[in-house]
Amino acid sequence: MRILVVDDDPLAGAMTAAILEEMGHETLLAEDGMDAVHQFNDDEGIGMIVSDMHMPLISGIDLFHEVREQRQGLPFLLLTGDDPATLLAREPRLDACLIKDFNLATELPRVIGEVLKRHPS
Amino acid sequence: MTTTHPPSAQARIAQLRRTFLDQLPARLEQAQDLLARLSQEEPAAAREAAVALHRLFHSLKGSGRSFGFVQLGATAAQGEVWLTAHLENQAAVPPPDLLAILGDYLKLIAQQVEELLNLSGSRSSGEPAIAARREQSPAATGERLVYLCHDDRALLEHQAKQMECCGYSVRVFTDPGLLREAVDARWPEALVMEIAFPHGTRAGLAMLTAIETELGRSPPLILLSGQDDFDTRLLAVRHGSLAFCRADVDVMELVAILDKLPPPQEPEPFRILIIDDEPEVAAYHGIILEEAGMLTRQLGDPARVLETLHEFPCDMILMDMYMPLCNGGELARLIRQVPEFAGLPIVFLSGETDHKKQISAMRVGAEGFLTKPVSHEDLIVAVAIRAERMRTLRSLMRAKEEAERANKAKTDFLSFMSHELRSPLNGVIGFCQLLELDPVEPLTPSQKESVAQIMASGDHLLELINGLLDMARIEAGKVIPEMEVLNPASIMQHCLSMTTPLARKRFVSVTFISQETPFPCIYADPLRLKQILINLLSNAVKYNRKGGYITVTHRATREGLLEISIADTGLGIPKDRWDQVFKPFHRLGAEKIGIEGSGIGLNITKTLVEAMGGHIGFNSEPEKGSRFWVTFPIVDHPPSKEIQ
Repeated sequence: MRILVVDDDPLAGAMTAAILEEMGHETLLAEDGMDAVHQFNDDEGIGMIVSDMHMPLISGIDLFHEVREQRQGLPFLLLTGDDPATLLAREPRLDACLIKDFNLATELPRVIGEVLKRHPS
Repeated sequence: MTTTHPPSAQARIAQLRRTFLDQLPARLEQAQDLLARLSQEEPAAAREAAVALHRLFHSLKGSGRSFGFVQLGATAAQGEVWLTAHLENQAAVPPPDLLAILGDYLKLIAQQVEELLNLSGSRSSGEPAIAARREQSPAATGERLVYLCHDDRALLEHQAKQMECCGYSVRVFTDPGLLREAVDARWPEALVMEIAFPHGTRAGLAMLTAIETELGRSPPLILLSGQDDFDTRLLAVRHGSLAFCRADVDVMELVAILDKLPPPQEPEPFRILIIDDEPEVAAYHGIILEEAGMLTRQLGDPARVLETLHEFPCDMILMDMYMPLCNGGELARLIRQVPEFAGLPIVFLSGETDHKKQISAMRVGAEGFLTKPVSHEDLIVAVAIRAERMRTLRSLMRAKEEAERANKAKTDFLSFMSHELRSPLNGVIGFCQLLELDPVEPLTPSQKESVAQIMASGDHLLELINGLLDMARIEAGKVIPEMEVLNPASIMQHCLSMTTPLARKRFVSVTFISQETPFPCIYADPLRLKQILINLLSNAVKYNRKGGYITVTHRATREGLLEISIADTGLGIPKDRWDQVFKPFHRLGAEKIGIEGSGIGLNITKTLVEAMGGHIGFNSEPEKGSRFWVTFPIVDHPPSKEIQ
């Protein structure tokens, strides 16, 4: 699957991408929400978005609303440095919300596995 | 079962983590810059700076945590909270205390960054000097191998992945039984292991003991346990564990401990001096040995050998047999004549195939002979074995010197203490005597008894101290007997009369059998001879039974020695203790039967006898008694003066 990774910190983005590629996915990187929207519009093949929450201009949740308007049912994972429960409460339609910590390398594959089970496309 | 994780996402993350770390100082600088701009007059610019700084804190928090820098993330998170509050407050210019607080957080972050960089820096620097050992040693390849062992497979995999993200190479084991072989095959930088396993609550420790016993050492150890109490921690310490963690420890905590472990010691490369008048040949052998991880120095001019040996302390010399100035044999002898280099292994290298010549070369002091052309392996092995032996020898010599120094310190201490103890003791005894003899205020009978007790104890103590002092002097080599030709007759008489009071007290009778036989003259120190005889006589009294006998004899032996022997009728010395008789501080059980003494008398006696060129010996039969004798060579001509 082709996954768009959005993170304003290129190192953090690269880390997320490394984990996803390890799982056998193809990744695209975007450094902010605008860039992400452009890439998403240009590429029909993107099957999932994994985005950081806190970014300048467009936040992760704003990005979520933007892409959900264009394509219903696109799996969207939010990564955050804050409490994921608060964000999920704010936006229950998110497929998952993960805290950014060092467990990401093992947590992300597990959560993506679950998300993909729910989206048997 | 074991699994090795191929370098993959973990390896890439480890690289990203490293990059993140390297970029931290730049980010920090940026943060300082933003902080400075925060307090400026222009409200819009101040606010802009606050937003940027907020983002920076937030990013440090997220990425810091993502890359496992937990503390850094936590500090940044706190800074972020303050900035969030400030931004929500809509105030344009931040209050001074906020600036101070943020400044403090940045300082804290700077400190943490420095620590992190130091830890990782100490790893990447220190390029190992040895090329050839790189393949064998994980430390030299820069790979940091850690063995992780407990029975929770899922957790193991998870921990391994995280540790790999921090740049460690991890092998996991669910069964401690497989560890020993793995450790033997490849030495890890650390072993992280659970104490308890399903098949035994201390199965982990049992494995450690097995590794230690079989391999003679064990890797740096971190023990984990589900139980965190004093006993468990003590157990961990006793098994040499460097750190103790609960079984549910956060991996980053483990990584922090591992990061602080000192890098594994690289053995010092062997240092080899190659002497050959043909520089190409010397260089060729040098390359072979350096390839094998040794350090070499090549010398073309034999005349400079001694200064080169001083400049380049080496473990062995590889030497050409035939050189224009002098041959190898001569040079080897020359080197060996310098005491410092007397033990240095020398191996000759030559085209000589004549065995006779080879053997004659060995005779002049070479440790070995290699015939050119020599195979790389033979050369490396021949050189390494000898260099290793030299290393061992040197470390043994160092240990010996160390022990000697320690012994000297002990002797000095003994000597010093004895001196210090003796002066006040003399005061005690002296004043007791004054009390006893005071005609103006005579003591009452019971006071007299007490004073007598004090004096007896004081005398005993003084005797012990004098003995110690003597021993210390002897050990320090300060006792040099003043030898002269003398006739022991009068000394013998004097000693006997000195022993009589003590003997009488114990109802021991002393017989000097050969009183009528004239003594031959011997060469000895009269004072020391007296000390020897008194010691033997007083032992014969002390260890005698009540009402026993002492028999003193002397005779000239067929070997031309004067033998003085002193026999008692005491308890005797059991055969299994004979070897302890002359050793210091061995009382042979005398303390149990209430005989006074320090257990150093015979040790001193023996040392003195031998210092004067004599011998001391004994035989003994339990319950019947012992006979001690000393012998000194008889001097034929009469004494130059009479000794009183």
